[in-house]
Amino acid sequence: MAFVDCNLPHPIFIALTGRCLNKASQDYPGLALPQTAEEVEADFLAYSAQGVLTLVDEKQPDNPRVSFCTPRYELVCGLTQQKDAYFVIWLAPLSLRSHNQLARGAVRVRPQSWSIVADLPGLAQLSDSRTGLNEIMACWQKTRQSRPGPIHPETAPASAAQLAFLSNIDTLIDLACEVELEQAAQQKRIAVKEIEPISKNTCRIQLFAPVGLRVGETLQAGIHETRGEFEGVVSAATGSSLTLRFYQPPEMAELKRIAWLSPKISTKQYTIQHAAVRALRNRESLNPHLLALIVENRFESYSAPTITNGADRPNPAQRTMIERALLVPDLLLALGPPGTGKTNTIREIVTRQAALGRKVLVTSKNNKAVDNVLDGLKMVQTLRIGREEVVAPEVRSLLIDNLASAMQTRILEQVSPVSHTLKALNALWPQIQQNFVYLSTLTETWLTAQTRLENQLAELNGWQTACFIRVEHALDRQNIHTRQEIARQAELARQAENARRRLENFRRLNQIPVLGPLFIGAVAQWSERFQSITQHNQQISQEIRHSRQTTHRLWQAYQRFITSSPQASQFKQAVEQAESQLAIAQAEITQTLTQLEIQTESLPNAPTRPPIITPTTLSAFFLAWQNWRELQTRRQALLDEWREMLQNRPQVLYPTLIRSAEVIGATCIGVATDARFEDLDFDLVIADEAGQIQVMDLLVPLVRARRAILVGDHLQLPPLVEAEIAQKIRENEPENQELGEWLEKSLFERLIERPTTPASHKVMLNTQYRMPRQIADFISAQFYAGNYQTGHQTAHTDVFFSGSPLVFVDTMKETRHFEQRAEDGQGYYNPTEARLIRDIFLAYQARGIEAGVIVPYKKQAEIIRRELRHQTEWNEADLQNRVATVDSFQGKEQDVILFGFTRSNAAGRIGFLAELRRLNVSLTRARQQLILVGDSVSLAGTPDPQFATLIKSLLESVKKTPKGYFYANELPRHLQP
Amino acid sequence: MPTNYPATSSPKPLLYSHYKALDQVQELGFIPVRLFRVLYPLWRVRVSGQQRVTAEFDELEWYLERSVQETGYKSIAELAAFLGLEPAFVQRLVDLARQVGHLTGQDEHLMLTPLGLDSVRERLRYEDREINAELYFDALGNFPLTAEHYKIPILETLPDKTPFQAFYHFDHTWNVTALEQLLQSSQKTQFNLPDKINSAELTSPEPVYLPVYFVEARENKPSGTLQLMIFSQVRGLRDPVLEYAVNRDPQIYRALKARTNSRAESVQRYFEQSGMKKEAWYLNEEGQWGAQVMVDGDFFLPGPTANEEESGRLTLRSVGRYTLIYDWCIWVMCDDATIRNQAATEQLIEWLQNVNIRPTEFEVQQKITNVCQRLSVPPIRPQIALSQARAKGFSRAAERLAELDDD
Repeated sequence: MAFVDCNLPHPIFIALTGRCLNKASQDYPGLALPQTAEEVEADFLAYSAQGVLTLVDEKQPDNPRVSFCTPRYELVCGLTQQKDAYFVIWLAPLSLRSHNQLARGAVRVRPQSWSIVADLPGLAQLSDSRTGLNEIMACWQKTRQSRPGPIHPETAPASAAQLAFLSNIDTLIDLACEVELEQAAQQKRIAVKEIEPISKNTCRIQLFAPVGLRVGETLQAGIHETRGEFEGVVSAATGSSLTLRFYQPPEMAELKRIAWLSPKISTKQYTIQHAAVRALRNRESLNPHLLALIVENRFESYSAPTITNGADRPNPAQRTMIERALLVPDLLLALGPPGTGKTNTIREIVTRQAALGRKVLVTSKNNKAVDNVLDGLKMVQTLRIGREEVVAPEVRSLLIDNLASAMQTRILEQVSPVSHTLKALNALWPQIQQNFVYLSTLTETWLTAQTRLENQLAELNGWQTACFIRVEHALDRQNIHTRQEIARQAELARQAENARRRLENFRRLNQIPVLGPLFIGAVAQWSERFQSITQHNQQISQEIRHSRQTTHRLWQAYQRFITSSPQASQFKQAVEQAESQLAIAQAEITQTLTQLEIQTESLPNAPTRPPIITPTTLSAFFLAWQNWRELQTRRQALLDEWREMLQNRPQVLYPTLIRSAEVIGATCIGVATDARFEDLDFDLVIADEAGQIQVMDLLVPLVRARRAILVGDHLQLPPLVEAEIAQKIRENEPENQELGEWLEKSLFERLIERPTTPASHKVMLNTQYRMPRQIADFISAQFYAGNYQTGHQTAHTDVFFSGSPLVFVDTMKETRHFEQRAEDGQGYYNPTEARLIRDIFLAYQARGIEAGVIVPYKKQAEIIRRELRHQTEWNEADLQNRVATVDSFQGKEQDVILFGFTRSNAAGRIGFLAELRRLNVSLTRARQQLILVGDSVSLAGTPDPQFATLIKSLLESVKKTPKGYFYANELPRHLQP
Repeated sequence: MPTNYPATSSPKPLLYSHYKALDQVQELGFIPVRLFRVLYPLWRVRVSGQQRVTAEFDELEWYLERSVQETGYKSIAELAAFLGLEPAFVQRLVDLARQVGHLTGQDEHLMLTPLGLDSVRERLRYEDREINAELYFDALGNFPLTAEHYKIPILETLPDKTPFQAFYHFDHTWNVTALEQLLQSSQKTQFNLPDKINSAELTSPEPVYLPVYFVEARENKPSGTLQLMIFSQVRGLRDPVLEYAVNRDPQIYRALKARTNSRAESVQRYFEQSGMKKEAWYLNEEGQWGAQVMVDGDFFLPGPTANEEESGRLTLRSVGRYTLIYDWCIWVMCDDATIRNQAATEQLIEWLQNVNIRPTEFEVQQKITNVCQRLSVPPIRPQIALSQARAKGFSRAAERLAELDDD
């Protein structure tokens, strides 16, 4: 919406009469409308800063009406006769119509001031009165011109180009669907000759003639004329015999009555394609900028690494692709010419992305290209989406049903021993329990014995104490006596010392001359006294000794009593008995525990025996066992549940297999056909052979991925275009050239060829490792502007053309070398070339070298196969594999390739040989030797200048090489096996 | 939380036919008086936050997480051995469980998070996801819309040519306090709210618009008062949330009152513009079904097409029901029994063609009775209805009628 400011340098005057106010009040009773002009003026002044929203009614251009709006009411005004002021025609609540107009834009009028006067005459007195109507009108025009811009880029409406693109793709899908339905309507039913059941839902059907049904094709089968009763898919087809697997197996009686088959037409792929377009239209693609990128080349910029040097493989270009694939924010275009290792590079990218936890989708138009990448993937969780019949045998194990089935088997095998172990515990548990019950009894016995021993020891102790108390008095007495005697002995010793000192003293005095004899009496007296004391002391010493001996005897008697008396022996016997019982109990416990250990040694993580055996530790030990047992029971229960679920419902593995798959492989349409995979989103989609994928197919995976890498080579095969669809476009949309462009050119080609596509979003693998340098150099010059190099340097060897890897065998001198038109008018064949090719092919085969034959026309391929069928023992599938058209050969390689141009006519008509990209494919399949067979005159003389130039360069190149160019009639000699 | 309906810039049509709304008003026991086609302004607020998302557990994941909880195994090797899976596969499952926040701890110390425990216990795969949600608030009153509204189309810009008229929000602005109030609300689960909000901002200063019908109706009784009913594309069509928001705002009712023509004037003008003589129609403003107009049989066009209805012409679809003349709801009746018979058949096959769920035989019979009663005609003969449905190319209706005929 647009709001335009209109600032006026003058006031605006509006006359609002009392009659007008009264009428409004009468017309809208109960609605609060202004009662006076002053009230309106106050309202307007309140809005003067932001501006009064104003609408203009231009129905009468010379006298427009202007509505000044407030949230409550509007004043619808006209100009006064003098055109110098407004007068209110009516005042009314703001109507829904005015709301609607305001919501779409209005003028914000900001005059110098608002002046609302009550009567018209009052205006006449005003001097500089102006209305500003012209300015308001000009602003009003602006509000109606400027339309709202996008609110958010990601939710902005699609641009015209985007809408045109979406519309074109929708149209293409519709036209393709119409063509298919029309073709189906014209298809005749195929009569069944014989039908033979193989299994419950499979049967072998014999037809009256080969009809070219393909493996994987869905057929309907019918008994009655009106409708097909059964549907199934072709699981094998050879000639006029095919194997049909029914979706819902018919009863045997019904099966025998099946009379006809016809291809079942499904329009599902168109629904899927439309859904992808719808997702783009609704901005629901995981990369919200995808539409802008496709249509307007709006790539997101990023710092793109370029590796210029380094190891041989991956070579710098491959490493550049790998590094850019990790970083590119939206889409990377990788040009991968023949033999440049794109498949291995894709695998490397996939592995690296998976290691980063990103989910990758590997896709392509056909199953073969997808399987080719998946087949060599290692160490990644890979899932293949598709029908078993159309998936290569090497990767069938990756189909969800097979993965789940294999996983189911593996799990059941793996959990079986675990379950056995748990069951062994179950079987053992009663014994373990019994052990613990026995241990419990033993513990009781042990406790009893221990108590008894303790009691006995207590009794013994009591008795000994009582005995001791009794002997203690005697001992005490004896001790007191001893102590008294010791005290007396000490007193006597003191007295003896005193007497000795006195005696010594009197003896010294007795020695004094003259006076000495005076003391002789004293000497005798003290000597006697001293001897008496000494004698007494000796008596006391004896007494002490005696007393001590008495104490000792008493103690010994006591000791003897408590150890050797009959009573004592009785006590000892009781204690010993108790001790013995305790020891027995302990030994039994130990023995039981040892037995338990032996019984349970095979059980995992069983509780360990406590180092010290006590009733408490034993109790804890039992508790630990009980906990362990509970845990094992829970495990057993869970495991049983798990096994039962797997046995009965293996499909429960699907969601996790899908979710945990790091890499998913599916064709562009296949990824969206199965509802189980519809929630899958991808971090990265890698589309291989993107040069062959039409945009409506490629959009299907692209809308489901955040980022994409398109790997392909637009200089090889383009998308396969059905002539009927091209015709339909010419009939229905003759003016729309874009339709044809989108049909014939892949998105890859369109993006890579746009000059505005940033270099950071493109990468070219420029080094080939497949073919000899001479071939590669020719291809490089013709198709890749000299940027196609050869990465290996080996001397060329060949049994027939050593040193010349590129050989042209010219049929120009053969008598009947011209082409012939097929009987049904579909294509051409050339018998001369067919025979030549057969001879060369058989010559190589005779030398044990496997060759492949590429020709442009199915009819020519059939002729060569027919020639070979009689001379080899190959089955039809081998022949189909070896001799094919260009379309079947893209992506393959062979040591020796024989290419027959087929076309040879006087006018130089070359048909779709003129599509040089087909020739590019044909010329780049050989690993060792490429032999071209054709009529050089007819080919070089074609009016198509590009083709003629290419052939001339080719002939020039081969003629320069020794043994590079031969006339056909020279060959048999040369190719003598 | 419902995924937002993809915004679209030019939906056609913006809303179901107004007949549907008027029929429902009648079924609710009201007499419709006026109907307005309105584009109601809403603020669209982008909110980022966390949301606990619930999904079905993949069985394998559930067993892995149960194993962690119930078996005491804490290492990938133990879990792989127990479940019989490849350790690398278990590692991937553990990584997935870590990504959704169910498992924590390094290998050998794996344990369930509280989210994982809840998930295992309830066997539902909970995941706390960072999400960006869009909330719609009534632009006039900041009243939040319920989860139901996120399933219906919202207009990002105003379409150029439409009979729907937008309300202008004037100086109303979105106020973040509306969101805060919403978070405090005990009824917050009804809204499109994540469990935890990190940021919120208006996606644009301009509102987006919700196409609705405002129906002014009165109860079908003498003292019946007028009230405003809102019909949008919510389930059941009547939109109580918006009705509450609208009835709170006198400004809206004021806008609806601002009219110029009375009912009689409008009807007269309508028939004059349609080229009808005054004698060919008669308006009774106090009829049993409110205002009723009796119209000559010649006036009705043979069948309903969108263009005719958009142009305002009366068709057979209009007979015996309310139709819209300007904003006025008028019960249209015809005194020509043939026209009424045709109208009954027409309305039956139109209903059979457009009804969403295949009606039972009883429902079809009831519809026939209702239509015939309403139009005062004898019961419709299925064969006639069948041939008419075939002639009109109404395949669904024809198929159902053929089945009834078989029965």
